[in-house]
Amino acid sequence: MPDAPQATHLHELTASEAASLIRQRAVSPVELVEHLLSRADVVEPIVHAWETLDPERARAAARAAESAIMQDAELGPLHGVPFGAKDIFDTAGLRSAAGFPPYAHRIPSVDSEPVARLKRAGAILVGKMVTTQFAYSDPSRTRNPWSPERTPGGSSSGSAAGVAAREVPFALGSQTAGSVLRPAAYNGAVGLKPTYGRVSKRGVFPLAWSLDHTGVLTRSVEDCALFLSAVAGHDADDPASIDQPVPSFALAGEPRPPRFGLVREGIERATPRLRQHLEEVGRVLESAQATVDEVSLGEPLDLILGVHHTIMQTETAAAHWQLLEQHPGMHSPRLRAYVEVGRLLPGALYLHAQRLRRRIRAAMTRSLRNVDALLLPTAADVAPTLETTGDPSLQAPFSLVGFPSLSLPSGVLEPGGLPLAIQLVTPPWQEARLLSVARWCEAHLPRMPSPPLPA
Amino acid sequence: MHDPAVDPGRLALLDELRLAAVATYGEERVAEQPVQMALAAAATAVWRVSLEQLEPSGPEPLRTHA
Repeated sequence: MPDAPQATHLHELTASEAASLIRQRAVSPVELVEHLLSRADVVEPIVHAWETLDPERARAAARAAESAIMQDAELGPLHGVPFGAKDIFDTAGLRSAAGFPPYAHRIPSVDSEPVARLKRAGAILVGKMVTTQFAYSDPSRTRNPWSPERTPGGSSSGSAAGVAAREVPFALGSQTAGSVLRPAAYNGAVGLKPTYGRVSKRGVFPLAWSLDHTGVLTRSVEDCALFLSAVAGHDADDPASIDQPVPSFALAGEPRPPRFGLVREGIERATPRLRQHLEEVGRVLESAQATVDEVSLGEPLDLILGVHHTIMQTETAAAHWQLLEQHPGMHSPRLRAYVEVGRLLPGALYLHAQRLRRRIRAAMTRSLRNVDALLLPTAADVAPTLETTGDPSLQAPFSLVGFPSLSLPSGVLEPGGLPLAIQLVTPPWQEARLLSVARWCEAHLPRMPSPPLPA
Repeated sequence: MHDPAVDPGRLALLDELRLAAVATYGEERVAEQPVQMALAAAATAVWRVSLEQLEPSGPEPLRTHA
């Protein structure tokens, strides 16, 4: 292969850049995988993003990818691009423990469907990334690469911190309340949660079935589009998968300046410094000819969060109570208590919440009628300290209704050097619109620097 | 602004949930901080959801994403 770009910069490549350079034979998949494994040696003592690295299989896959290139074989869109998977995604032949000690030696024989589709697109699984236990809110050991005293968020802690720390260009995550977008915001990564039913969850350990979404952490909007192109589409073996046409997610041309609906409830919930930041972002977007008008979610935020909580806690209890009895003392403290209390909630209340969910969904659809996307802070504040994974109250509303949402880095708080982020939301099945709007914002907002880690 | 933490309806629901928890898991377990926090959060959610009136012929509960 021809000389690669400066090896020290290989870890800075986004997935799209890596895919393009690999296709042009300017970067070798073998060299890229080796470089990222070396990168892990340097930053893992600080970040702790990987749960299980799989260097030998990653190297073998990289050699096979390189061989395919040399033979001019037909290449998938992610050919030779390394990725990580949150440790609640089953991976064939590779430990999948979900942060649960009794599963420490659990090795699935089949890949979860998102992992399988990524592999079919040519991507190389480098390993599994730290999750909070069963994707709930007990903090994990992962640290925020911007400040080891701060949480990376959760539950996709390792996926977000690892992508931000340049350990891997993209990683699978999952979201039931805010577990993709909030870690994305806290770590300065891009996080996408597609429409409920757009991406299969087969082989992904459930937390709350009607709220769980497969998502992705990346360092560019283009990478979210590339990811979605590889994994979107109906899966007849996943009961939650919905058979909808899959459009092209390719980002072409310069979109017109969008119309944003600035979500009043999001601004009210934010801390003063986040509110001030959103006002600044609004001014930047307006100066680039976007329109920004205030909208409401159409139902009170406390009701939306109450409905989300009731449904999530009841479903989590249903998913976990038998496991709790089979393995006493093995669940993390908050999850155990959440399941125990969830078992006490009456069925009539759960169904009442599900009925309210439909009303909330209709209201949010109306909120989006005259705008291209909703705009609000992803999180109410920057990453807090390590005793929590943060507040999901601004991400959970869109997990409840299943609308696609995306977190985009929008600056760095000074002093302190912690990432800030905006959240964008579109109606269901409108990921192409969401990505187009996000790409437009990405072009008009400051570029996110790398976190302060060793080179 | 009304503070849900001191709303009598929420406090009554919290008591009801706590009694059910004690009957199921025992006093000692229920006194632990994670259970106390989970009870408080659940009471707030249940109380807020219960405030909303729906007619039987209103929205149906299932096919939530259709």
